[in-house]
Amino acid sequence: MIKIALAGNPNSGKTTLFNAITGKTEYVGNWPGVTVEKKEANLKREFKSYSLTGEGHGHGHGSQHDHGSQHGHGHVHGHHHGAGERKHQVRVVDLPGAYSLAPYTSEEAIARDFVTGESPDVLINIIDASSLERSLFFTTQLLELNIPLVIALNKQDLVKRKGNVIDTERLAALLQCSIVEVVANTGEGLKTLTAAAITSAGRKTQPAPEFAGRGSLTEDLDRQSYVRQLTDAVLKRGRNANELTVSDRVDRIVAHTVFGLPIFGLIMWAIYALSINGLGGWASGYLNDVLFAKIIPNAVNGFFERIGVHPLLQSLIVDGAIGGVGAVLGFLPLIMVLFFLLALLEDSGYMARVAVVMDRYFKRIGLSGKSMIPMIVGTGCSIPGIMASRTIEDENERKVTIILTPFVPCGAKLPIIALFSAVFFPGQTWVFPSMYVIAGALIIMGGLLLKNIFPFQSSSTFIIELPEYRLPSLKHALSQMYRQAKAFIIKASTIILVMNTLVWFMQTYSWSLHVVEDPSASVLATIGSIIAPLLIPLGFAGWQAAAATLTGFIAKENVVSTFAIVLSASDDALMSTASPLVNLFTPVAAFAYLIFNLFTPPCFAAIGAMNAEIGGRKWLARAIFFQLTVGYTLAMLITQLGTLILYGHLAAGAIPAAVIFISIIAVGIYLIRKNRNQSLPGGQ
Amino acid sequence: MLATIITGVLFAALVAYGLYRTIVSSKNNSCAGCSGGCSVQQQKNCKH
Repeated sequence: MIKIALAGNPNSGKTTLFNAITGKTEYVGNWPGVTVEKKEANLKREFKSYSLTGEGHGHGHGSQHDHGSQHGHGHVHGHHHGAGERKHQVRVVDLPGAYSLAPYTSEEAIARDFVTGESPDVLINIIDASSLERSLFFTTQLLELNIPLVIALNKQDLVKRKGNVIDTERLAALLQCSIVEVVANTGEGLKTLTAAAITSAGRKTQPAPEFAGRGSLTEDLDRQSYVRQLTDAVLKRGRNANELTVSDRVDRIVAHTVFGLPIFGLIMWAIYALSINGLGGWASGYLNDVLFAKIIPNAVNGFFERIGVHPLLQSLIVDGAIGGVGAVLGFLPLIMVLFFLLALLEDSGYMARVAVVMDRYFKRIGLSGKSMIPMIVGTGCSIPGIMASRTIEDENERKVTIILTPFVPCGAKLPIIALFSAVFFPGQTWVFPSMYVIAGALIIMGGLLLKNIFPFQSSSTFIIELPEYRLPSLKHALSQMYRQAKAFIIKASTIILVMNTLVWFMQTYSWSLHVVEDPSASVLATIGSIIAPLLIPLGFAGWQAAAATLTGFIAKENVVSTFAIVLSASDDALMSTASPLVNLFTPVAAFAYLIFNLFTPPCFAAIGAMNAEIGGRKWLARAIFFQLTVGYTLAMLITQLGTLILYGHLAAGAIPAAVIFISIIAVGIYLIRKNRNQSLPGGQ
Repeated sequence: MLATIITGVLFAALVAYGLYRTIVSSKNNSCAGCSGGCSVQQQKNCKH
């Protein structure tokens, strides 16, 4: 087996290249630090069968075209051997980005440990050609490992746009390794690259670059000086480096101190409005009102009646499985459009600017713009968001980021927002964006609270390498959309199906395993009734709301499917303004219910990720307690104050709500004082 | 009766598969369909 490792600086295009040559669909983002763990996959067959035919053995210069690639790509420059290794299985490892073999963050350490400890047969060093000098620092370190190395010179389009030219032939000769020009986004040059890597794997050795001062105490400075000389020798600059680029000019507006945040808000509102009111909303409406409400249930019922399936089993499959899963899957088009638009925005390079915009706000609460990246990733799923916190060096800042990231509404929470929005706030485009505004406010206030409650002081400095703006790739956006849709469907057909089956059984049977006429005598109702009193101060009446919240901790989409089952409502009836949900909630309580489900602890899988990343059960317990308190208190305040202001009377459970609120404030003040006393000189 | 048994077995198999995927994923700090979870290194010693 041949093992190829992909190494390079953050945001040089490693994962894009990895996906292209393995057929995987790993998450790719146009900002540094997206990959925080190594990923492995086999090289695609079409890349294994491609060879560098006609090449001679031994060192020398040669070139080979990629079939089907555009002119200018697919050449091998420099040192390579003939083909002959391609019969082996080829494993490709995508490593997190690193600037140096002396790691600064935990994910850089993963890259260092792999290349130094696990001896891959060949390294493909992906270089961002538009940042040649910075990239070559790491390259010279990799060349010293005595592992055959092939350079993939990526993003040449950006080099040309700047009016620069790189003498690839000369660079290959100076570094004594093969260089292949590639465009990872379009796939140009990749067959030549993998063929060069496979043939290089047989070489076993790699000459190291020679420069004055190597091995001395000033090695880093000497290396930097050598890299600068290398760059000057091969890079012909077409314009003055101090001249403002289009990217710089755009940044002056979108990353502006005052306008940056409102621009971000406006863009996000436009994306959600487009998703809900456009194709996504229309297609979701069709799935909910027609496909999962009429066509599929009618067809399955008709079929089961014809073949004589028992009515109870028929009810389990149609009302439990199809009804519950359909209620969730109905939102698939909306989510697909939303993630397609977000992927376009992210690929343009804008999201990295959002981190810069947020840095100045985050600094005030002891965090930095680095915390914004896990939160943006968390809009898809909290788990990779929590894991992305590994890019944060400061331990306290990382812990706080892990606690706050699940507040960002992930893809699984979108069906809950869509359901409550359709029933209680039809045609109102503010509901979706308002959840993100509230999430932002909770993150800021939560950060402030955590800073005052738990003794921590962040020492992080935020430095981010802003990628050049580029025209977003349609292929990338479609791939991200496919990735999200696949995840959504797998989730619906596994964990949600299991939970729906369980919910159907629990609401159909009593504890003595008899079928119940009235669901309020069921197992589910009993369990729901135990929790329901705790939710009275929040304005949630009945065991159904409690049961839906409970199943939501397994997977948030279960909130929607549980309501579909326990309210025995078809998908179109559940989503309509005459939904049985209106018997359980007032509009104010419905909004509070949304808040409660969105801002209390995330699903169990995300809690598992928090446990793995936060560093100890004590911090996990603190995190869950904090999230539960924040979600509960906010939902309670919305119901109690909203009912008083909008309806002119006190809500149910007003007195317990007041007692709970005063207790929470008292505990908060006690914890803040305790922290302050400990912080004072001589404090315990 | 036969139709009920066959349908029941098929549905039970589907749910069992869903449960299996859920358990396997939860061991890796993830859920079926969720992206993320344990890193390759963590998977060896995953406690969840």
